[in-house]
Amino acid sequence: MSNTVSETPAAANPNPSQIQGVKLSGERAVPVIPRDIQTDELVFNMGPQHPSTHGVLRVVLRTDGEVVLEAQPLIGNLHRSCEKILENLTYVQGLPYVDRMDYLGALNMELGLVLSVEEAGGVEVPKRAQYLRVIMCELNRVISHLFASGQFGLDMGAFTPFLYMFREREEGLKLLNMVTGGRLLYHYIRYGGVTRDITPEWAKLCLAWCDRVLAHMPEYDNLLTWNNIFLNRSCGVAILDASTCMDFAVTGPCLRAAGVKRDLRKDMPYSSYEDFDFEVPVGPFEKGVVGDSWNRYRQRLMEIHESLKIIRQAIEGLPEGETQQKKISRAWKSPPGEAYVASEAPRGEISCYFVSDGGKFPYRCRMRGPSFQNIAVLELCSRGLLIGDLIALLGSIDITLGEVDR
Amino acid sequence: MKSFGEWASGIWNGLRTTFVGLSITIPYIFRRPYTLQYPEELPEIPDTERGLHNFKIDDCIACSQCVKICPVDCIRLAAAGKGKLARMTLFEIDYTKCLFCALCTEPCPTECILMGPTFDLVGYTRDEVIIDYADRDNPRTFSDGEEIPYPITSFARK
Amino acid sequence: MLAVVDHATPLSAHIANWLAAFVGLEPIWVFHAVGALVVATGVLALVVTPVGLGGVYLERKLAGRIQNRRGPNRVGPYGLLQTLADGVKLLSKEDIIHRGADAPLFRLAPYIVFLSAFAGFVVLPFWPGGAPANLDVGIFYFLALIGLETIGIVMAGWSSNNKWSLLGSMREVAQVISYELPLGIVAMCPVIVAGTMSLSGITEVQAGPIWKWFVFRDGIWAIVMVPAFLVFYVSGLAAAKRAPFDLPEAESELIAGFHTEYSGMRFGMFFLPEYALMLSISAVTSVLFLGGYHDPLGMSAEGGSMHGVWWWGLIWFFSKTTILFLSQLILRWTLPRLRIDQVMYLCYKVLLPIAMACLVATAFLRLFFS
Repeated sequence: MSNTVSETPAAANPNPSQIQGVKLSGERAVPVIPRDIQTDELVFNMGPQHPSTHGVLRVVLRTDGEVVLEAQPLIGNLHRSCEKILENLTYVQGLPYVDRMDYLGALNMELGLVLSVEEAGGVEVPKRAQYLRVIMCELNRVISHLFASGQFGLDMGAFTPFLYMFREREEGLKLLNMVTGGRLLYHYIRYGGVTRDITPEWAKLCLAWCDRVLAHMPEYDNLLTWNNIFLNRSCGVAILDASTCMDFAVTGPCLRAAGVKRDLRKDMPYSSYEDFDFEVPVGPFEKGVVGDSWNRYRQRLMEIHESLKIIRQAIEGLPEGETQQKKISRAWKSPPGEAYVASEAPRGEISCYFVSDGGKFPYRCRMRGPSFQNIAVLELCSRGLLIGDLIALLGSIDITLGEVDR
Repeated sequence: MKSFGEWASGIWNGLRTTFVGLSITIPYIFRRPYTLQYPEELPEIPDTERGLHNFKIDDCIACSQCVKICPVDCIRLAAAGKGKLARMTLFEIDYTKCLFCALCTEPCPTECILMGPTFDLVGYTRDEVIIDYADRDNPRTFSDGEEIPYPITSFARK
Repeated sequence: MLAVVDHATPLSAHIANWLAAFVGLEPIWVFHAVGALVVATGVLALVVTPVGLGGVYLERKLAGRIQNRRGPNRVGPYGLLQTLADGVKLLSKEDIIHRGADAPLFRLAPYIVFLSAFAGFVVLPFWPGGAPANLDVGIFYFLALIGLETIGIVMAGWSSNNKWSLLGSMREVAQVISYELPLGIVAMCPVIVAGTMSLSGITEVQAGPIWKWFVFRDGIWAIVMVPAFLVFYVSGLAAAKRAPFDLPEAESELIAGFHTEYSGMRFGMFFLPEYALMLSISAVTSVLFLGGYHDPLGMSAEGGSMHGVWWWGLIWFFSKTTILFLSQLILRWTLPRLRIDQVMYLCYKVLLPIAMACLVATAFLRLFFS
């Protein structure tokens, strides 16, 4: 756009959704409406009951008609003081709580805590358990991405692809239920291993499910991804470029869609991820501008392919052995020490800064959650968008409020 | 400023992708639905399901291990006598608090508390979801010799 | 409407005489007034409600099947009574007019929407000579009613004292008023060919087999009429606020748009007209372009074997309308929603130029080929 004047990297790319006459000026990119059509501003209260805020997020919008001048996310409606609870429970008791933070990627949350505690306590995890963790976490990642992509379509007004993706997600949840006993909150990964081994029948079912998801992929693509209305709605909308992502510590699919090849599974392998052969898809993809809503959506679909690859390799190369370190009893406590291990959750980098004083309870478990970091860009990125595009931005960042508020 | 070609191809793409979408949705009208009719058809529940508890009342020795490990303190327990002779007078699980984490089944020395496949528990008041397993009329409380009518995989770790 | 009263039963005449004596007026005026009331009530009870309820049922069932679900199947056989049960539920729910609302406007708004949506049925020629009111300006009357509906919706959005509602109603006005332009212009193409604005007259001109319908008329007219038909269909979708143009309601953006604050039957008064408007727009589309009550073989045309048989015409009229209606439903469950600026782009930069080109081309073709 010719009259866009800005030093911010966020506005450097042409953003077709920004209405003509809206000028971006200075660091904070405040839209300036020409004097002759100056109208009153509206202050909207979007949420916490709004269906597109993915939970109980409250966004205070200052708009000029349909154009968002300022959007301020107000979080904390789902605060349960998870970290403090972890400090007041024994090691074993604390684990089921972590599931409740990011309930759509619960296994990855468990892994985030467990990895740090194991690092601090010097716990060796059997190879088979590591592979099982990988299988389950990737399964959970696929399920989470299916949900996120469908949800993004739903935000755009396409209801049907959402339910098609839910169908495959449901099959995946059944698979997880067979192994872990839970559908959404698994309590599967424990210190020093996992609770339960998989059976050969389950492995067969899981491989069949991978095929099923792949077989349905063209359906989603034709119905949603390549739909002209969907492309027009999401291409070039709400661009989150690499430097903005860096400034706000945005991680996960949002960062990779902005063209930054950063995936902790490749860069800092944990839990035997170095054994598997997979690609890290990065933006830009076929359409749109790097880092726009469509690329974030596409990024998730591409990551599903890679995750399915990992699941196949892990099931085929599953080593024999124990699934659980025998030394870890239920009264186990970590020796004094501290550790910080980061891992890649569906929404980005989940990590835990864990400190132990050798006592019965953890001394500190500071969780660094991806949704909490990612939602911070909303304020900067939403300026000058239309209300419909704000919904697209929220949907494509893909936050879980349970983890934002913790 | 859009050229005429862009303008026309936009219209063409809009029409084309609409018909591509319709070619996917219309066949679904004639396909079998995926959903289950819930109260009549139950979903397949694996043996590993962590649903409502099952309690073998005569095996319980009232050692309170489950009470101690519970992260949310939802179990209340009282017994007359000790050890193998214990007679349970109260074994109450508060399902308003329960996490279904199955931690209570893990330390149990006699494997008397187990997770079952029942997943639906509803009530009009909160009191209705606080269940006393010491009551022998409870459908999920099993006496000596009574068979548990569904397969349950033990979570207990020895 | 009054023409129907001529066939009123002696009983109604009797009642009219009695009432006339009671209020001291000429019997004929009271006869007409009461007759109109009886007809209006009868139409409301026998036509409008089933049409709305049937539309809602079809939509839900179809949405279910498209989405691999079953749709309503609990109340009655195949869930047929589900919408009736919902209607009873709506009637029995508490009617809330919140403190900040402008109560008189808030109460009035649903009636205007209801009225303008259902009044459109009056001019439709259901079978040969079967239009309740054969207005000379039938198509204008119909377009005016679509414009009238926006007034009710602005009332609802403004009087709700809710910013989301206001935003929804603003979108509605911007959208419907804009789309009336291509809708009105493209409706003139059949009018030019037929030489009349009466919907019955337009249907009569299309008498004959399928190649006499305006979309395919004599082959040569298809050049202008097929784009005109598409423009009319898309504009009709937008005027009926159907997906992908459902911005005034946009449940993922504005929650429910202009009827957020309405509850109970007041909400129902917004809900039923939506389906009524869809049906009447489908019916007008079939009249303007698809030959109305004429069958594809020309049996109902002058000299055809089924000429003048009213139910034969009715069957064809309803089957054409229903097919268009179903296509609107399926489109809703296939497409994502447009953004407000794209809605305006589509209207002013795509549909309007095409509509104008169609109009000019029709005029030329009429000059040289009629």
